[in-house]
Amino acid sequence: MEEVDKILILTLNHLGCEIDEEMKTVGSFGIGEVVGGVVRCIRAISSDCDLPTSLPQNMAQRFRAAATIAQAVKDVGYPGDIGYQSLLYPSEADLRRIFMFLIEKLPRDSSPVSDEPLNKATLIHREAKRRLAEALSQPWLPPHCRHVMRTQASCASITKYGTAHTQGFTSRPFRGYEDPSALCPEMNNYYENHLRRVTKLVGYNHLLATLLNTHAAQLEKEKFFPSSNSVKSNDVKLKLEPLMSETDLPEATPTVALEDPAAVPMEAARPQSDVQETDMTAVEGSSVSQGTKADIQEDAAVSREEQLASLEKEVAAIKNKIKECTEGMQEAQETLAKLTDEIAKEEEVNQKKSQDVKTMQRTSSLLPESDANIQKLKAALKNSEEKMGRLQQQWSAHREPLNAQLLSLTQEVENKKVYYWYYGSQTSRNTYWWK
Amino acid sequence: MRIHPVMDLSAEVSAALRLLGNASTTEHAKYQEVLQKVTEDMTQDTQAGTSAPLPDGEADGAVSRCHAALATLFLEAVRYSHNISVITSVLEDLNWPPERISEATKAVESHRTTLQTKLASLGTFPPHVVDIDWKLSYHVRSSDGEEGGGAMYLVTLHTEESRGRRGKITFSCSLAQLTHLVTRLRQASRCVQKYASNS
Repeated sequence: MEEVDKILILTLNHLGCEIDEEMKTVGSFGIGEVVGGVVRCIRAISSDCDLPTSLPQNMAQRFRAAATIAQAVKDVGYPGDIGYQSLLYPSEADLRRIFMFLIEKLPRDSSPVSDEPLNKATLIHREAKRRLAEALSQPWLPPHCRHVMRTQASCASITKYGTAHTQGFTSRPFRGYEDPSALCPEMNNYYENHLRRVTKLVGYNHLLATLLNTHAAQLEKEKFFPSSNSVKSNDVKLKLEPLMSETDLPEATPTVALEDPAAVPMEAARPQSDVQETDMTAVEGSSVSQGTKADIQEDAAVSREEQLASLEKEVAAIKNKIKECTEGMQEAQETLAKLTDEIAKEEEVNQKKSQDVKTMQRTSSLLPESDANIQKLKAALKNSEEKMGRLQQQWSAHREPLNAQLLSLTQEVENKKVYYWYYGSQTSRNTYWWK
Repeated sequence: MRIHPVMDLSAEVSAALRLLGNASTTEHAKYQEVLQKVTEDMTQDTQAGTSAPLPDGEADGAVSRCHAALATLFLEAVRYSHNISVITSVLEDLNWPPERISEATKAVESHRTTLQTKLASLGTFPPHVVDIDWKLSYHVRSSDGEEGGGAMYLVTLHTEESRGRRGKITFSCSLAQLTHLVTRLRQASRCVQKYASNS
């Protein structure tokens, strides 16, 4: 009986009547509580009810009010006997029956009564139950019909949409864009002129996943380095670890766990018994690791700074090397240009000299038998002079008749010209006379 | 890092968005170009398109930066199902002029369902049985020495995996084993139903 009473009192409290903590049984209800409880139940059952929750002071009015309330209870459908006496002079058994009947008649609340603490596990369970129920209530579509609904799939329901349109959460490495003014001029140039959009870098298939991943990584990084704005913070890559891994234990790991929350609402259709246990242990594990995180974070920060310093030194060294190499390259190029010029000049000089050398060689080859050579050279000279004279004679011999021909032909041409001019002038004079 | 009461944005994203919304550094035409590119990229259907990233010619770095930041903002907003007021307040914190805010929120609202679909399709899903073929084979005699092995069922389960792939699981079992399997499947489905309705 006490259990029943407890349930009754609980429900009545939920409806809004404030029953004292000391009242453990329905028998200890006073008239005020009885009336309040009954009226609130009736109000919950049928919303149009203007019965007061407390009785007026006047006895006569009290009787009338109690009678109306009893009538209302009978209207709801109470099978037994009820009258104003059940409300004003209640007996325990009667009250129990009335309340049980009324509470059964109450409309079922669809909202879950939540007295439990709202930790993550309960929330996830609740969400999982809701989605499972929703998924189970949907009709099954054969796989070849599912492609139509796929475009409207706003939630991952396996029975309705199947898995053919899904893809894994694959993200491509993408560094995110930094503030370009904080970089050296070459990178600045790259940023301004050549930096392509994310989609071109990554491809449409991986665009969403990459953006989400990068953003989560940036948020994670900011938890550790809230004040650093410089470029070097981009060198430290934090790995995002899953939030609830099934083998999770409270280890001394400094990296904060962050699962991609997009995956959580998708795991709706899981076998539930295994999941329950692992979820509970994983939640405990992650909460403990949160506690130890504070102590470990300082050590982690120190070690990370050391890493940072060493990495910075390396980067600076590499940059110096690059500078030296570029300068060396420039110098080498300049010397190369100079040397090619010099080579060209030398070539010219060389050519001239080789010509001189040739002539000198020839003369020097003639020198040893100088007299005979002189005679030969003189003879050669005479020969060539004679040849010259002969050729000139030939030429003049050929030339004269041609000259004569030329003269005669030009004379003819002149004569013809004179004749035509004369003739022409004659005709024109004649025509002039006719006019 | 700007911590909005409801929505978290990293420093790089906020800085880029500030740049985008600032009317003096980014002209309206550029802003609209960024917005349009973002909506295009978000809502494109990838099934027919190429999966490899296409090399592009020269591109503007500022546009790319703002494009990534705006895309991230849209994605995060849809992922946590923020309504327009939250997005508006976030953008106001980043000093956006009102007409740009309204354009952006209009874009988000009109493409919200598409984005939800795309986000919902991300995830790891185990293979999902969609069809079954079976054959009854009777072993009269075999080299194992076992005479009359009896009736064996050759069962092929067709599964559907992510990206539209189809898989096959084949096995052979006796009638008793098949009944056992079916009983277990029924038990599993009862468990799921009980869990789902147990609230």
